[in-house]
Amino acid sequence: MAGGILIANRGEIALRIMRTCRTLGLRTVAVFVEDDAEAPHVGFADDAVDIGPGGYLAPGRLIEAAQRLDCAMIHPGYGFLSENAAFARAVTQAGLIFIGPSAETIAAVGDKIEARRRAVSLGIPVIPGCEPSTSPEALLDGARSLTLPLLVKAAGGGGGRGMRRVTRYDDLGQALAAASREAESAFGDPRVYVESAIDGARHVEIQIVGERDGRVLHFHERDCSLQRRHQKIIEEAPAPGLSPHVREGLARDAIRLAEAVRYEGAGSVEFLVRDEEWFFLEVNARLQVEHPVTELILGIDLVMAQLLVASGGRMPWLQDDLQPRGHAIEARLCAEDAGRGFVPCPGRIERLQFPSGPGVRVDAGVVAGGTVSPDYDSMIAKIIAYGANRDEALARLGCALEETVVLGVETTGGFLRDLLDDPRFREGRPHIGLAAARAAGWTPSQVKPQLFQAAAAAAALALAGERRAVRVSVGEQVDSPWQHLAGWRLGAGE
Amino acid sequence: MKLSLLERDGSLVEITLEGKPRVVTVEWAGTSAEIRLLAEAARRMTVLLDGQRHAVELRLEGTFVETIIRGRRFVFRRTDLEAGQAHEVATAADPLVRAIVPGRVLEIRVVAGERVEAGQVLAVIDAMKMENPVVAPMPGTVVEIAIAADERVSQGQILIRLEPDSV
Repeated sequence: MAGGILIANRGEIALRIMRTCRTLGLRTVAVFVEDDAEAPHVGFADDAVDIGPGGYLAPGRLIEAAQRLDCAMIHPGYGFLSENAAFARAVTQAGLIFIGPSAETIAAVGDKIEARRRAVSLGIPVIPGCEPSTSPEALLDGARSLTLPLLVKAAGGGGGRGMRRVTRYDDLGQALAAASREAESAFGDPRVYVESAIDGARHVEIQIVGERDGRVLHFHERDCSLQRRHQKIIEEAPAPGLSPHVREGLARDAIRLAEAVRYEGAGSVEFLVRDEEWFFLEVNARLQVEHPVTELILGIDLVMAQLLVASGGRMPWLQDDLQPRGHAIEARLCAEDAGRGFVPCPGRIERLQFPSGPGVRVDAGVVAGGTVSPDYDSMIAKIIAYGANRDEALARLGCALEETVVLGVETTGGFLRDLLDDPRFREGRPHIGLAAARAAGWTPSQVKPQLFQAAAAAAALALAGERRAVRVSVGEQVDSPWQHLAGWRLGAGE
Repeated sequence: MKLSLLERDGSLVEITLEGKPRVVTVEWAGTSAEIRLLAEAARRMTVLLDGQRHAVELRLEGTFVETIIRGRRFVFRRTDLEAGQAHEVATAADPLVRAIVPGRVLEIRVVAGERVEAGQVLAVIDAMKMENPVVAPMPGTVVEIAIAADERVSQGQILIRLEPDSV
C-alpha cells in the first residue's frame, strides 16, 4: 500500500477512517472547504488540501488532489460521493483504488429498484410496491392497488432523504412532488417510488464484505429500529430476541443477494422484520454510520477490511471465525432540538466533554470552539457502549450519555438518555415507530422533574452572583437571545 | 431574594434565595423543593436535592443561563427584571413569524393578503438537507412576506408578518 490515502469526507467518519490508516502506516490526506479549514479532520491528517467550494461533491477536483498529493487510494466515507458509481469508476480509471464497493457493485445495488428486482428473482421477500418514475400520473396509478399507509421513497439514495409517509391517497400527489424535489437535491436523481408501509416492524440489517474473487462474508446483524423520519437514532448488535429462523434467514438472504451481484467491498443489506417474516428493503453500498457496534461485538476493524479487499486482498477470517461476543449499542448525538420536532440547531460549541470508562467508545467530529454547520449533517458524535450482555451495554450507554456535556447548541442527548428507559426498548422489543412515539410531546423537565429543579436552582445561584452583568445586558440589547443562544425561541408555535 | 426563570419549554420557575445564598427554594408547576449548594466552581455547581448530589455545568450569557445536568440541557432566562413580560412571552404567540433554523428558503406557500389558519405551512426552509416547515402561530392574514425563495435566512430572522384575527 504505497503512497497515501485521500479521505473524501469530513467530520467523525473522516477521523474514524484516518485512525485505521494511521495504524497501518498509511499517509492520510484530508480535503476541506473554506468553512472547514479549522475542522478536526483537517488537523488530524498528515496533509490537507483546500478543495474549493462544494469540493466534497466534486469528483474531478478530488481525483486531481489525490494524484497531486501522491495518493494511491480514495476513501469516500459515507454520504457525499460514497454511493456514486460514476465517481467510483472515475477514481479507478485515474489509476487509483476506490475504497468502497466497486462501481459495478454500486450500480447493481445503488438503484433500489434494480436491487429489488434482483431480490425478487432470487425469491427473497420484498415489500409490495410500484415501479419508480418521475411521472406523478404513473406513480399515482401504480399506488392505487397498494394498501395504506404508503411510503414514498427516493430511487437514488437513502438515509430518509426524499422519503414521505402518506396515510390518504389524496395526499399522495403533494408527497410525490416534495419527495422528488428532496431526492433531486440530495442525490441528483428525482425518481421516486411507492411502497406499502409495514407498521410495527423492526429494522434489521446484515453487514457484509465481499472480496474481488467472489467470496462474501457476513458480519451478523444490527437492529436499527429506533429511527425518526427514517433517520436512525440508536443502533445495536446483535439484534435482541431474534429467533434463529429469522437470524439465519436474514444472513442467508443477504449473502445470496451479495453473491448474485458479485458484491465487492463493504455494505449492508437492510430488511424489515415482523414476527417470523422479513422483507428486503435495500442495500447500502458503503461503510455505514452504525458500523462500530459490529466492530465491537466481533473485535474487528471494518475499515481495515475495506482497505484489504479494495486492494484485491483477502480478509483474514473464515465465516466461522466471526462469532459475536457481548453486546454493543450506539446513540447518535445530533445538534437538534428533540423538544421541537428535531429542528437542526447549528451553532458554536462552547463547551464539550465526552464520556469515558470501560466499554465506552466515542466517534466524534467536533471540538469545543468549533461550529456545527447548517450545510451538513447535524451529527456531533456517536456514543457507543459495549458490555458482556445487553443490560450491561445499556447501563454503560446511559451513564455515558449522562456524562456528556455539550453547551452552546441544543443536542438530542437528553432525549436519547430517556429513550433508553423506554420499557419496550429495555425488553428488547423495539419497532420502527417507537422513537417517534416517545418524541411526541417529550420535554426533559417532564421526564426528570428533579433534575429540572436542580438545574433551575443552580441557574438562579449563578444569576444571583452575576447581578452586574445581568443589568448591563438587559439594558443594551433586546435581540440577544437570537444572536447568542442557539435553540431559544420565543412564542413557540408548534 | 426572588428570581423568576423561564425555561425554553415554557416552564416558569419561581426561586427564592435565602439570606446567604446556599439554600434555594424552587417553586414550579405546583411543586416546591429545597436545594442546597454544596460546591461552586467557575462553570460548575454541585447541588443537593432529596439527599442526592447533582453536578450542574453552566454557562451564563446575559440574562440566559445554559445548564446541563446528567446529559439533559435546560436553558433558562431570567424574567423578573423585565417588567412582567414573562407571561406574555410564554403564552402569546408572536405574529412576526421568524426562522427557527438558519438555512435557505425553499418555497413560500402563501401570498400577501392571504387568510391562514393556525398551523398552516407558510414557507419551507431547507437546513441540513431537510425540509423544515414554517407554520402560522395563529389564524390571521398575511400582511408582509419579508423573504424571497432561495434566500439564505439566519435564525430568528423575521420571515412573514401576520395580522392576527381580532377576537
